[in-house]
Amino acid sequence: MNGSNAPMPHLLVVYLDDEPGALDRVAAIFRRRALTLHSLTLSPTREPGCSRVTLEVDAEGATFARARASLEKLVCVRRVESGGAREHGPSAPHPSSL
Amino acid sequence: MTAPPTFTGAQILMECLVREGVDLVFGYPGGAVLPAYDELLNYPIRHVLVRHEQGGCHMADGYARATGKVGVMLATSGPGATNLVTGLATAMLDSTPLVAITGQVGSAVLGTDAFQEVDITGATLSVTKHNYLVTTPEGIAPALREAFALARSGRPGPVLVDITKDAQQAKAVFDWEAAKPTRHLRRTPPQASERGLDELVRMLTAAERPLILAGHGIQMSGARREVLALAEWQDLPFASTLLGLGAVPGSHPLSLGMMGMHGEAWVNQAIQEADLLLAFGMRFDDRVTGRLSDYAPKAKKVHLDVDASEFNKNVAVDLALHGDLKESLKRLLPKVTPKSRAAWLARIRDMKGDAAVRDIQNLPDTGELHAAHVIHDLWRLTEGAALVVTDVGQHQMWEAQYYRHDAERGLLTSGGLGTMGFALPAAIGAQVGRPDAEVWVVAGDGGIQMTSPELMTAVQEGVKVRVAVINNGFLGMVRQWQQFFYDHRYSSSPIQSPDFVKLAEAYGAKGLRVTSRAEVESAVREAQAHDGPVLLDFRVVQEDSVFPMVPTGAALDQMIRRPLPSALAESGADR
Repeated sequence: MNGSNAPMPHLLVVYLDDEPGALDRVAAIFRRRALTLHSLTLSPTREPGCSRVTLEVDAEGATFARARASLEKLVCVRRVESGGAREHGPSAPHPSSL
Repeated sequence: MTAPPTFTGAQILMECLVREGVDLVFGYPGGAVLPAYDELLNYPIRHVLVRHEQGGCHMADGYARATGKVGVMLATSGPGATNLVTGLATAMLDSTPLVAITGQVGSAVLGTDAFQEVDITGATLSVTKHNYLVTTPEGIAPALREAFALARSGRPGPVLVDITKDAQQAKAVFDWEAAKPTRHLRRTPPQASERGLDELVRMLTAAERPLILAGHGIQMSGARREVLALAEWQDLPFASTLLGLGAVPGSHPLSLGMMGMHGEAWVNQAIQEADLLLAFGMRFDDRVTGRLSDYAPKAKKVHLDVDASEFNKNVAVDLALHGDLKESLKRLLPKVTPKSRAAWLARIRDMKGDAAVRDIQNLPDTGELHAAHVIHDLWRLTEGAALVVTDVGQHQMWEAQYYRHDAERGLLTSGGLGTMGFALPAAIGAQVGRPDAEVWVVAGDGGIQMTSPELMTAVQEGVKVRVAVINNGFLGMVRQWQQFFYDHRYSSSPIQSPDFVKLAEAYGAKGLRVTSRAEVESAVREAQAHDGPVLLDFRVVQEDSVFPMVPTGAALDQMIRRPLPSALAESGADR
């Protein structure tokens, strides 16, 4: 964690309807809470009409739980999976490996 | 086989509204929504022309809160749409079911900064439950149907549907059945688990000092009967949030009244002494809890709500039950046996202590007119049965303290967002929705000036709303905070007003001025008898404060109390 007291980045995988503005709604959940996103990848899935967003966010504990609960309230979100906390590595894994 | 009939997008919009049961919309026309307005003439839908889109949004909100139906607001693109933002945020924070429909510039020029173009789905993203940008006539029915389903379902809220002008004009096949929404069902809450309900019963059995925190959710879920049954069986006193007033009857023997920043001292003290809190359809707002680290330190906390994201948001709870309140309590009640809690109720009575002698209603009549007197007299003269719509500030708290609400949907107020200017338009919406109700606005001289042009809407539409302006020449709550926390430095809180009587008359309404308590009754009676909108200008004591008050950041039982009468007599201080 580079010796700082900053929160550990947490990994989230969000499955959402493939429609205009859906990514905006996901990102806004973090923006309005002044949380920083470290990485974000949008990719298609085999599920028809469903995209996958893989993101890393600087949040933990109750803040992380609140953000996740708010994501799950979005109409366009099908489900949310949590990847837990990870140390910063030299490079983020490619989403296809998650 | 003949081809299925086609409709314009505007016709599809109206067909959908009628099928959703809409017979009334509030709105303001403009270029990008003209096709819809033209089609409106062909459908059995009443349109109330507002004076400002914000007012229209509050009217739809007031209509929805008063009737339980979805309120509908129609506006044009650009400024018409941005004027909705405060109204949508107000509805969002208080969970009002509302559908706002806006016209948008043609799809070919989206994103070009065309005349009266604004990205309203972007702008309202965080103040709506969901929103839609519809660019084809085929897209209108699915968006509208889902919008209504979302507005109503789960925790209700506002939804915005933005429809480009060409989508309103072009033709398409209208297929109501094919547009049936399904996504809102993703969020249908699970029922509270059997194990959770059993755990709640165990906690109730073990508790000696339990207390119900009654929130707005009781009314939205229609759970009044179940909450009262539980309270009466188990001898559970209940305290209400601001929006929970009237959700359970204020004159019930187990009712304590309002909790929180301006709740009565003994109510907050009871919460601090309780050993079990049952939070029903409320969200532990900061105005309710005081300093979180000291909140109800002795209590186990149970939270029953339809919105899981509210659990452990502000207050960590011991048991979270996710489900519809009414359904959950229906399943709980057969598990509960009657119990008497005489000692706990006696302790609460003791805590009332000197509250009665500090009550302004018991102070000697000095001939001055106090806001609390006006509210108390209004409660008496309307026999507690009026539908009162309050604005935001001191008068809002005095109303909550001195008008005892027994009926559901008897008090409408902007609790979450605290929107000044809400009351008058929301009351117009409420009165249109419930023409037989006696609707009163209670507003300050600051807030009423934010939306006073809607008086003209009331006159044009023949809406018989009564407006009580508590006029103290200050932005009163700001002045009170400046007095208590900023060393009496009244920075920009004194405010001048027009002659409200003349203003009312200029709009074609009736205006009355009241300067002493002796005049209150005859003025209220005159307003009740008048067949049209009335504004009463109550000139009250200027530097009056709302007591008790829990300062921001203080624990719930660290209140600033009203000075005792003896201290008042000596110092001539606030009462």
